[in-house]
Amino acid sequence: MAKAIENYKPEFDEKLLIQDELARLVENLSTSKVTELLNALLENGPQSTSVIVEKMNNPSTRQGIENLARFLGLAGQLDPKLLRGLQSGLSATSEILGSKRSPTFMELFRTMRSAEVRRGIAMGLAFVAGIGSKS
Amino acid sequence: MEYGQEISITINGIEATCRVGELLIDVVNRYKQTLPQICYNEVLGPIRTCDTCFVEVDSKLVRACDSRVSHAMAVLSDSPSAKAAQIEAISRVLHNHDLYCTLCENNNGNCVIHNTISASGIKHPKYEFEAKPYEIDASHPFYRYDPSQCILCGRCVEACQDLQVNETLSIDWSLERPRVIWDDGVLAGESSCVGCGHCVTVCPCNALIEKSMLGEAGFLSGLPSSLTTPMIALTKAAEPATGIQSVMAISEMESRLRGSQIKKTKTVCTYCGVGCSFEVWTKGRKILKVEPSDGPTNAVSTCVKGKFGWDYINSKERLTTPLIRDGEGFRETSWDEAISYIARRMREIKGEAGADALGFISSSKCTNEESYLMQKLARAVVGTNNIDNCSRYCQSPATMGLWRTVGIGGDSGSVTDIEAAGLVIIIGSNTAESHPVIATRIKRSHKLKGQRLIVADLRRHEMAERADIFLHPKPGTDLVWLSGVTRYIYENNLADQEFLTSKVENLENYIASLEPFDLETTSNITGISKETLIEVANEIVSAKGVVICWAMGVTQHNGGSDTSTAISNLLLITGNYGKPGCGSYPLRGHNNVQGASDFGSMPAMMPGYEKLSDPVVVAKWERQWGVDLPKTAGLDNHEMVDAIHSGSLKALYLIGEDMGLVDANINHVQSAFEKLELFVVQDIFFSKTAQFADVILPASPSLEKEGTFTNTERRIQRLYQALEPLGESRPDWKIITSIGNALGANWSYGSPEEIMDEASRCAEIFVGVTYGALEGFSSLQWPVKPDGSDTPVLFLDGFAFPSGKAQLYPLEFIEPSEVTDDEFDLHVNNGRLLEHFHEGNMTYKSQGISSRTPGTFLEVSPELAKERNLSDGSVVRLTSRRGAVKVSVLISDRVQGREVYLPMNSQSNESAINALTSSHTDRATHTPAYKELAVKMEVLSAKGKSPLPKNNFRNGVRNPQMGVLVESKWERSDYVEPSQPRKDGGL
Repeated sequence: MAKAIENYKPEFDEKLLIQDELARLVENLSTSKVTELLNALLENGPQSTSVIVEKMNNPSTRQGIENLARFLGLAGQLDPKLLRGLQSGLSATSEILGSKRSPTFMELFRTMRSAEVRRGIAMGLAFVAGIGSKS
Repeated sequence: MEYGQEISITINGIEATCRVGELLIDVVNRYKQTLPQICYNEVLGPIRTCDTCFVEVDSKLVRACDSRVSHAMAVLSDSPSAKAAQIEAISRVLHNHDLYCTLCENNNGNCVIHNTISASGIKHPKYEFEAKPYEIDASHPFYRYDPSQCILCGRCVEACQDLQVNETLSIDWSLERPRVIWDDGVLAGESSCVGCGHCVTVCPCNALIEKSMLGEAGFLSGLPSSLTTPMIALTKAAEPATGIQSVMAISEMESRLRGSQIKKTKTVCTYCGVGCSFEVWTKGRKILKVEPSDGPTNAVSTCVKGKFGWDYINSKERLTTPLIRDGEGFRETSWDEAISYIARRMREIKGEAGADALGFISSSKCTNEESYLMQKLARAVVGTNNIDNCSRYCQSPATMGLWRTVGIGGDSGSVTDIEAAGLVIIIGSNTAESHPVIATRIKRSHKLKGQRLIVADLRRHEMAERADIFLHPKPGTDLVWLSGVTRYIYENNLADQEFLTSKVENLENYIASLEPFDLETTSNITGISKETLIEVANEIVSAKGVVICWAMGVTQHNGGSDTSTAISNLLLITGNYGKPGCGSYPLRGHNNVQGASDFGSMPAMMPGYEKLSDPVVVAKWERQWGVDLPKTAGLDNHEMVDAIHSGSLKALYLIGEDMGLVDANINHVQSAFEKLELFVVQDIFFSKTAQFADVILPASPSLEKEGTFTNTERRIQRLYQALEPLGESRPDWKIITSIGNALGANWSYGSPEEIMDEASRCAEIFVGVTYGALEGFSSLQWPVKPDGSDTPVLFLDGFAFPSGKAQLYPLEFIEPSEVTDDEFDLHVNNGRLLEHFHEGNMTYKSQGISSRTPGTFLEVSPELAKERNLSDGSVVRLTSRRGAVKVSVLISDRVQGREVYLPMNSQSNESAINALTSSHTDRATHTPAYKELAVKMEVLSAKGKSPLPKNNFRNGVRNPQMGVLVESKWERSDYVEPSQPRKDGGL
């Protein structure tokens, strides 16, 4: 008589879902998607990147890229001092934007007395004048 | 011009041949002219919401999906005005959809929005994306809806309302920012949604997406929003300079990279007999999604099990090593030891008691090739015809009824014929739950195409609710009303005389056998009024094509074969065979219950239904296999159980069948298992049946192997291997081969294809079947001729008898084997639920399914509940003459009076329906009379928790309407056609 064995629970090795230690490592890498991306690039790289070239090579995109390139070229010709000033100005602007308090009129007036601010305003006005003369 | 007439039109100056009445968008697509289109889908038909397919026809702008060929039209899809309208429409789409494709799980090369935008060449959308003021709805276990990504195309609504016809989804066009809603606006997970997945499948973007895809598909998906938000902002900042197409190019590149990340494998569903086929998307062992598209039977359709019920594949309850009984437990063993042990014991038992002391039971879950090998093992290696399969529990009577009358035991046509019929009669089949995708086609034709529907059943299930006529005959009396209606038709000269004269034999004897079935007597026996019987008869004779679908409510009676025969008789009398759009459709229950029999796992039939009683047949197979074969018919499943009890059957090798729960009268069956000297069970789980085994062999499920399944339409389809077998599990064909070889078979099968080649070389109905012809989504419906041509509709050239004529088969009514009496006063009906397959071995492994349907329950009518003081959650004991079960009550008007319904989704003897059922069987086939069951009820606890969670779809309230109601969109004051710019802030 072969009675039913009801209480037996077959063991399950969870690693089977990963197969083995090496595969487990690969699985972990895969979870982080590093291996997925590398595998994909190796297998489909040429095919998929050709899409980029295909898609980018049209008049509209070319125009966008040209604009971007002109801007970068222009930036390359600028006096480093000017770029440093631009950088400093942008970071000062971020600070102001980060602050919730608006300056009072008296504070603004005091700021105008600063030589750096006066040089900045003069530069801005020269920029505006330049645009006006070429447009 | 006449509808259908061939005509020439021009599209962008190119001459195109088409037919009057043809949809313009189909012609444009056929001639591969670029035309944006998002809401249009060939399966769903025109929805007319997205407005992207505007073309110029004879100088007028029209939607190509809303225009039909009517004359020699000049169509322009690339004229300036057409292009302007298309770009305007696409811009409106992008107002409703944020493009972050590279981060999106739907960016897999088949995103309709992505591809449309890419193909359109649009440089800059005119309108900025604006999120909708609604939260993401992630309440459903299997999918989530993001209203802000929803473009309101209504594909999901059309699929839900008019293809699946569950009628849950709609678009609320009255909202300032319209969105998709479930029922009357409840959460998806608390609605009437049955989880069929149609909406997710047809969604053209990521508004509706499978939860299993989230964070998995794509290299950059699943990143935290703190990272994705600035990435999206950066992309948008660059877009004015570079244009939208460069952004699309990056995402397209990423989608192509996903080809290495995600494996897409074509497979065939492993649940019911509809035979849905689809791709399964996997990443490692993770199942990301099921993607139906090109299945010949189902196209984009699935049910909740086929779409989402695959967790069992990676279940931690899978058997992964062979086990052998050792004292009070099992111990793990090697394949070598397991196979050697089995072979040694089989040899010993055969030596002591003869080959017929061994029995073999094949599985309807396994492939055709595995069924073929199993019967070959029994016959050619062991030397017995004791081979059967689980069709014995369900479909054998239907096959018998068809063999008697038309000569071939299969559906006489295809699902498309059911769809095309003028009248569908469903008898004893809860089609919407047991064959959900076939039900969608019937519901769709009934809702949209004027198809009539008659349902005969004990329960007022969904199909009964939708029926034009619902018959509720007394249990076990279907044969009577069928015969009464047939007699009425014949007597009133409503029969198809021409058909009878030219194509049918034995009319006189048959008509004489109808003598007892006058309307008066029929009405008295069945409880159906004479007026209703006449109404049914008139429906049948006035319909353009009658299809009859039936299932276990017919077959699982002691007269199951006779009632199946009566169905076929009625179809013959009315000429409903041998042409499209009509015929007999026994709805096969398991994915390969048709194939298991087709390929010879039957005690009296060789593969291809070639009769063992025919010496020519046997000689042919002896030549094929090079052995002497046993000549006498073997035992069927039912007889094997009796033979074990009597001591003549001592060994049983059973694959893929939880016979200890699904056979009738399980106490009797389980006690038989205890008497076996060798019991080998091959399964993917440690089933109830496996508990009795001496050796348990771990098998691989369908996703881990190759092969073919045959669905209810006789359609043979290939499945491809998506995953490696888990652990040491093996495909059944390899295990059977190993056992065969250990017994000296010397088989060298290297693949299932080689097995199919062998079967098709010898079995006439498969002679033209090759794997090459079954490549991908291709399929063949047997019989298949040597030239590879198949047979979607049977009997076009006559019936499968020597005379070529059908045979009317005289019948008489026999009383059911068990009826209610004073003591056993309740009739128990039983069957499946939509969301669980059979006893639930596979579907309970799905957290999403089991959270909503955690167990079985007893449906009790409101009348009986009142009489016995029962409420939802009351616990009762049902006792039959064989056993007892304890179950929770659910009050439902699906059942009436003293008829109760106990679904079979239980894995425990305590609540399994078959603890109650008897060993009575159909007289002709030994199929158990599961449906003939009387019990008494004892209330154990009047109060309790409802067995059906509140979020079960049965508690939802549907919202039926005709499709997406696009007219409501057009009537909005803020809508104008895209020939003009959008109104400020409008749709």
